[in-house]
Amino acid sequence: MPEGLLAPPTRDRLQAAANAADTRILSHGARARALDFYLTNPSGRARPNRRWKIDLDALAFDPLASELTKNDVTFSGSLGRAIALPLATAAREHAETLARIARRIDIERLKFGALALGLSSFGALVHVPADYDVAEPIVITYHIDAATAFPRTLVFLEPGARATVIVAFRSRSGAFVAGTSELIVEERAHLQYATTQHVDSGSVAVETALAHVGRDGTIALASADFGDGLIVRDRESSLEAPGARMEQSAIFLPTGEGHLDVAATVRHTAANTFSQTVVKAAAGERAIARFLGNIVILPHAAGSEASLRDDALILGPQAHIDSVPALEIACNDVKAYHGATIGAIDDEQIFYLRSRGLDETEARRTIALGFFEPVVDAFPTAALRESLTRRIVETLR
Amino acid sequence: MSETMGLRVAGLRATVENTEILRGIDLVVEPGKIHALMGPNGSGKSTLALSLAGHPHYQVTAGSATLDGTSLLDLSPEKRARAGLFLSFQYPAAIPGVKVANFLHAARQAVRPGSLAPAAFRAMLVEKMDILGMDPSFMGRYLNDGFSGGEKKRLEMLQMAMLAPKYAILDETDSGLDVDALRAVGDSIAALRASEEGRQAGMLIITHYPRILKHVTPDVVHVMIDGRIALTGGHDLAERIEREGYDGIRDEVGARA
Repeated sequence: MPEGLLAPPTRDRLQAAANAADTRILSHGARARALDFYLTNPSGRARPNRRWKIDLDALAFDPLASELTKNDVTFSGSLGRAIALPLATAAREHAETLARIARRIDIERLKFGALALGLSSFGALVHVPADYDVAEPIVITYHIDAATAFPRTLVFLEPGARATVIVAFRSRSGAFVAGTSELIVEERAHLQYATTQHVDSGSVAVETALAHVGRDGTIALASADFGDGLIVRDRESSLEAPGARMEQSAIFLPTGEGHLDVAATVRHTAANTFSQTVVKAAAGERAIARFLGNIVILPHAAGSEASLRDDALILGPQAHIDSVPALEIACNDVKAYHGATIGAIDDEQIFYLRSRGLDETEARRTIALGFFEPVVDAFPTAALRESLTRRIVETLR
Repeated sequence: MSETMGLRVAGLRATVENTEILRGIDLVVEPGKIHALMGPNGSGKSTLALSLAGHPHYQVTAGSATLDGTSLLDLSPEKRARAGLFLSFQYPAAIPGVKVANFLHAARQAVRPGSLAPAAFRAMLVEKMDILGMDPSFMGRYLNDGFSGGEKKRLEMLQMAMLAPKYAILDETDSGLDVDALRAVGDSIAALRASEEGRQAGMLIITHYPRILKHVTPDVVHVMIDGRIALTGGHDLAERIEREGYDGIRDEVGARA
């Protein structure tokens, strides 16, 4: 863990983080009040592939530092022998655990990871001891009352541990939130990790996630992103030892003028590893969704299996979805599949349902809900699945 | 029998992409009667079915269609269904993510609102699936998604049984079915007609082949050629088609015209 993790941010600290990352791409997004990003696009509308510049000289650190203290994190769920703590407390009481995570995960090599590392002052640590099964889901809720937040979520499952972690955000309108998820799943451990976020107009939500999975360990990632703000996700999972598994399910549903930009990479670095990615993206009105799914199978990963399924549904005549699946395979004797579909709701489907008595609105809603159904099913609790379904129904209305 | 009862089609003309397919159809299916509508490929049988169900790609340009006195042609597809019309599709659409049981419940509620408590609905569903020889796992499958041809047709019959329409049009429900599935379709029609809700159901069974008519005995057989009803008769007409094919009828009708 770099020195001064939880000290107030300084210009030097951010500069160091920027230097560590690729500064050309150390930025993205819309106007973040406290950070004063430069918004260079004259139309004011985010576009795919845009490079952003960050003007370090323009940052006002003192107001930012005091602003950031308004953010808070709370936990719910019965922990038993597991630990779930605010990062500030964890830094005092569990410094060794944080150091172990930092040795394994280099979040600063990713552009927003570096930014979060440079500026973060709050977050959460979940640590589950070996062979312990946390029966109840651990819910981490970030209360973001500042205009800006850099929440860091660190989850460490020791060998044979099992846990479900759900991350929720309560942020004010117009907030800039750039968080990280740093997840370590040791051998035979099993982590289910779910995040949902609604990002409203004028808000920016960035997540950089890195997951490492050990021998015969499993990580099941589920995420759902909604709203008409700017959403950027950069996620990478490494399957580092034989038998490691990753199952990834994602819902993307930007609306209005929303823009969503997601890159998800799975790295098979060891033999007999397994990954499965299922993405359901729908865009309404003038929204843009861009998904870049990348499967990397390295030379020593013989016997591995990877699948990537990406379905996109265009709900508005001006909506736009880019879907870019990619396979990078450097090993024989592996199985890798990818498939993508993109389209609007089929008239024949609508007519079929109408001929059974459903009106057109109901028919469209039924089809769209069905589109998301397999991924909604991947979320951990019935309450979460119901709230997701409600959110989808509201969004489609 | 009142003059307005029945599925009554008069002088119906319809076009698809500016090509006239139906060239004046006259047909009355009375309550409780089974009609077979036969005819060669391209004669317009499916166009008639889809026009009556209100498919947006089919434009009705003349004529009328009423269901027990209610004019269908001004109604949206869903209102036609709620009025008691059911179409068993030749090519049912697949709707991934929508479970069969949930869909059937929604459809039943839409067509016959509040008529069945959940437990009674479930019991009815189990009973109808049994008649059709469908495994209970069907309930949890996604609507027509990955279904075989036979499974799709059985599901159409299950929907007919659950919705208990006043009039059902079966658009080549028999095509592509093996003997067992064919018998299940026949049993399903018989079961509907034996039920309280379906006792007075009228049926229009569209088919190429007389073989379905071994399982369901029609009261009336029509032969459709080139967008018109060319011949109407009894069950013997179906037997004649089996012997002679459609060419003989076409020649006879052509000679008369």
